Amino acid sequence: MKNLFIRDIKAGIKAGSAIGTSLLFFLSVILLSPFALGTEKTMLIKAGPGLLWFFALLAVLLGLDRLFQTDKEDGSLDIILAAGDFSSLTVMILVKSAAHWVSTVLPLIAAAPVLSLLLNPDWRQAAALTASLALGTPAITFIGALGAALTAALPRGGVLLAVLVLPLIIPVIIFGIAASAALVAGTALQPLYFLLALTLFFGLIGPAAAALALKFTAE
Amino acid sequence: MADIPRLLHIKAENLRAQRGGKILFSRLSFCLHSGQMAVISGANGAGKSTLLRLIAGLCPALSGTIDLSIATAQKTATAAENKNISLPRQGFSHYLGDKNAMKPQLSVWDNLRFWCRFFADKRVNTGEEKKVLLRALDKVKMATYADLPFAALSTGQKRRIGLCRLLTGARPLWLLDEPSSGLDQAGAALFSQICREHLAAGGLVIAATHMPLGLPADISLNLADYRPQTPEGQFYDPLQAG
Repeated sequence: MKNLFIRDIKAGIKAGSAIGTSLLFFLSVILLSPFALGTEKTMLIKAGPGLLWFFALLAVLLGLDRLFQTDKEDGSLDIILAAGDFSSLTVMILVKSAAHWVSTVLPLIAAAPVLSLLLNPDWRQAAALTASLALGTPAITFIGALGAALTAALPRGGVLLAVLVLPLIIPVIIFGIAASAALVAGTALQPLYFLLALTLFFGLIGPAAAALALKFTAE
Repeated sequence: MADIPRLLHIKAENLRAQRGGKILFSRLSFCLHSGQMAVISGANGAGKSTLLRLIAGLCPALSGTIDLSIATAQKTATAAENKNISLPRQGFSHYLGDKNAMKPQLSVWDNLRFWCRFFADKRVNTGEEKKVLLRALDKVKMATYADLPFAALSTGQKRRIGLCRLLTGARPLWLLDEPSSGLDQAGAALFSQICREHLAAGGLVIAATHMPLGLPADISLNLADYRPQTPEGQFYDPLQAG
């Protein structure tokens, strides 16, 4: 498993272009948002966390089609599918999603504090937002693995993938924003625990569903 | 390669498969033993790849069974009896499709090392692993290309590395789809040699190919013999029973 993890990270980093695309997308839309919302400070402060969460979500979802596509294109997915039964396939998809998170999503999370300070120069808000993103984006990656498995054969599957898993992502957004607000205000941290629970829950359901989807759509 | 047990059998009975709504073959049966090679032939689109993928477990058959089993001799108190133990095809076969299953950005050595660890059923120490990989690369005469990124190789060289993948893990059943495509004469000769050695060690090979492999085929499956004859039998309607 460690084998698969390291290979996926190496391949992801060497491929380079797709990571850059997600990160550039995130950076540009956040930098453009003051133009759309107007430079009134209170507006940006209020809308800031929501915008950052929303665009981080989009950036992650649109980059998720790379999860299985490269392996399907070069034929590795066939070997991986042929070599394992359902439970080992689930673990492999979990490892692949984790590797994808490390190589593609971590740069977004690294950029998030800087962008948050751009919209709202409060370091507590920036830290809170980054923490909630760090806990919530794994959930998106895991459940997005299901969408990626279903759209693996399609060349531009990214948008369809996003549309498919969006209903399942709604709780993650809700608790993500609530967690960020709770951390800033110093109130009870229930939303943060819910976010963590969602990550763990999706970490089980997402790869298992993706394994089923891959087994059924392999043809 | 010393780990391949002898007396393996793969038995397929009455296989029927469809692709895109069309039934490709029906009532296909064969039986293969250790050390034997089966060659699947047929026109383009006849279903050679589908049959191989079916045996590999990548796509389901409409009907029919495939059983990979190992014969064991069990001595009970009164008599010695032969019992066949069924094996899951997943852990005991190698599938070589039209794509080579290598990441283009990584080096040849990294790619093969990943597959070596993937197929290993127990932890291998680094020295042992290096020996296995070097031996495999030597068999396909690609040892000097080990550090190049996979994308830098030519088509024939990529195919040789694809074949090399089969040597990184010992599996008895080899399912090969057009294995010598893109290979030059030297490459094809190397491939024949590798197959010969695998069969001599007790392995089984099922290959779909247009070109002669340089090896005598113990079983020839021509898919034209198994096409459904009646016009009604040719189309598959999932809503109909049977």
